Amino acid sequence: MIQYIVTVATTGAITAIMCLGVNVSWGWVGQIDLAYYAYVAIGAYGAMILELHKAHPTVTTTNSYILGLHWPFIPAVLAATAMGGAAALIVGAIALRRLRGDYIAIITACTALMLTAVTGQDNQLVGGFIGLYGLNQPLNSTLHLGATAYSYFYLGLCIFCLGLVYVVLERIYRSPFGRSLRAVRENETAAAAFGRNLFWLRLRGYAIGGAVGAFAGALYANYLLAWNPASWNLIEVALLIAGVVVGGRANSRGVIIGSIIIDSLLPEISRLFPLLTSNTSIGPSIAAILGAGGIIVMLRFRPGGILRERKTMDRSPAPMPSLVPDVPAVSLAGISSAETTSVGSTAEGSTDE
Amino acid sequence: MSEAAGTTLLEVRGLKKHFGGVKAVNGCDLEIHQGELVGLIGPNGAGKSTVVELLSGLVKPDAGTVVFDGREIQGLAPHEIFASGLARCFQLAKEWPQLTVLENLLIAIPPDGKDTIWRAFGSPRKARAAEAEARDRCLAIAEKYRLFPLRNDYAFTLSGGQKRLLEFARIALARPKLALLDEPMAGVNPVLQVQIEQGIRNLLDGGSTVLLIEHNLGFVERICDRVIVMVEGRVAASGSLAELRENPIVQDAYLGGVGAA
Repeated sequence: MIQYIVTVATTGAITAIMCLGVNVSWGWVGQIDLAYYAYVAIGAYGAMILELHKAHPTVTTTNSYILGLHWPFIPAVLAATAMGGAAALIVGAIALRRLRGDYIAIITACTALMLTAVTGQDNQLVGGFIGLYGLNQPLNSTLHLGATAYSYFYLGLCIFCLGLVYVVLERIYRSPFGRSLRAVRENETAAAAFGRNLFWLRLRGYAIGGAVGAFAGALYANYLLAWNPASWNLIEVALLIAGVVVGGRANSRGVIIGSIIIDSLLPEISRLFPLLTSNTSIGPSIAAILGAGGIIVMLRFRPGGILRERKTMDRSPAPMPSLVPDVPAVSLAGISSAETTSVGSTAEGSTDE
Repeated sequence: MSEAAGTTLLEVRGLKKHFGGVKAVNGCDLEIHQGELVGLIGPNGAGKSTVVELLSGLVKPDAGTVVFDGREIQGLAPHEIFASGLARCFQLAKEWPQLTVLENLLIAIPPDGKDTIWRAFGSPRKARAAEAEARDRCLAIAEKYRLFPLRNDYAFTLSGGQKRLLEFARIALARPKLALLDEPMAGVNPVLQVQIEQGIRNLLDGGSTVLLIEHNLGFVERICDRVIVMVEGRVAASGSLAELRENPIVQDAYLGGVGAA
């Protein structure tokens, strides 16, 4: 039972990181990104081809893979994160320059489908449909932990990483960069008129989202110790977006809560349903129905999500009168007789002639 | 200030923009000199707002040149035009609805490369000092335009008049070389109109040049150095409002038309 909870919690922490990444591209930048799981996959594959040994053609006759650099865990994860960010920069450079809204969703969906096809068909690249496997438990060559202790350790690592991603993203969100990004989301015309480079801001935001996705993917691959093209498709992205919707778009805490509810608790609860009936395949269907129903209910009754986007509150006292530039000493009494009548009368005088 | 005085800040030649068959701006020529406060008037549909859209880069002109501060800016992206020192306010307020009033004001301060990702982490003391200084400026302006008590409210909760004030306050914070004001007074109560008038004078005192679109001719006459009249996408005449009243083209197209209506 404890092992079951640890498994669910570890996957849940990694999924929550993925949702935080979705929240950057959708909640901050305002673009629906259907390629998101491709960045997760790039992170997973990237970490694995860096960490695995060189492929031996004699041993693995059906598939092989590139690189095989046998890097240690931490540099491999960092490099995989950078790969995801770089891939997002390339896709974003195409999708964000001229296209907008729906078209970006289509472009990103096409990207994801292309990448699945390429990785699946090419056995030399990352092992084709069989995928990659045979990774050693990261860091355990130095830690020498038993199976149970190691699962606790990896759970702790994932929760630490979730906290790290949360803190980093909150910092960015509150910085001038995050504020500019939200201004672009709120009204791009006004943001451009006030000196914001829409393309460059969106592209950077999009790349952050991709990097976070790849980071989560690298952690996930190192947890599963294997990865193949069947483990990612558009449904996964839909579930992550659902987590963001239910939790609260652009609110990192809400997104973590939503991710836990939609992407961890719901699938696990739905596992119990087959115990009640003879139909063994009812579980995933019930989860899908509950998940989709939850999204509809949320969008109808609480479109902001469980936790809405938080206001940044300012508590400064009113500025000293000396700091306020040239406040003319106007009072209602003074103005109503002098200024308004003169404005009104001249206006009439000029237009009525 | 007479037309000859001051160096030319903005020179527009043969500016054209057609929307399908509608010739919104059809060969517009105008000049604005450093430090001037120029009124732009004309009947509805004369192309005044389209000129502002074209100058600020939000709409690309079909033809014509715009030389601003010695540099051709037609065809540049809006953010590049803003960076070169030309800012505009919108006829229909375009606030950032889900940002607080204070955040709306903070965005108006030119970024000058300060909104990099690294700044969220690197040199936090310097970044915090810059942010505090920007916030103080914004709060002072907010106080001036009676927005201080609303600083933590989302901008979409403001009334129409308050949004106009926010719109003008943003221009005051941007401190542009040339401010294009598209009916900044519309929908603002008389007390705050005086405040905005004072604000326009402050912009001029601060070294800005102002192009003001306004339908209230009494106000235009009182405040503007010079008035440009646009009719059917072209500049019909330019000069003081008193001179323009004698101009038959202007009378026919604008003043007389309104008077007769």
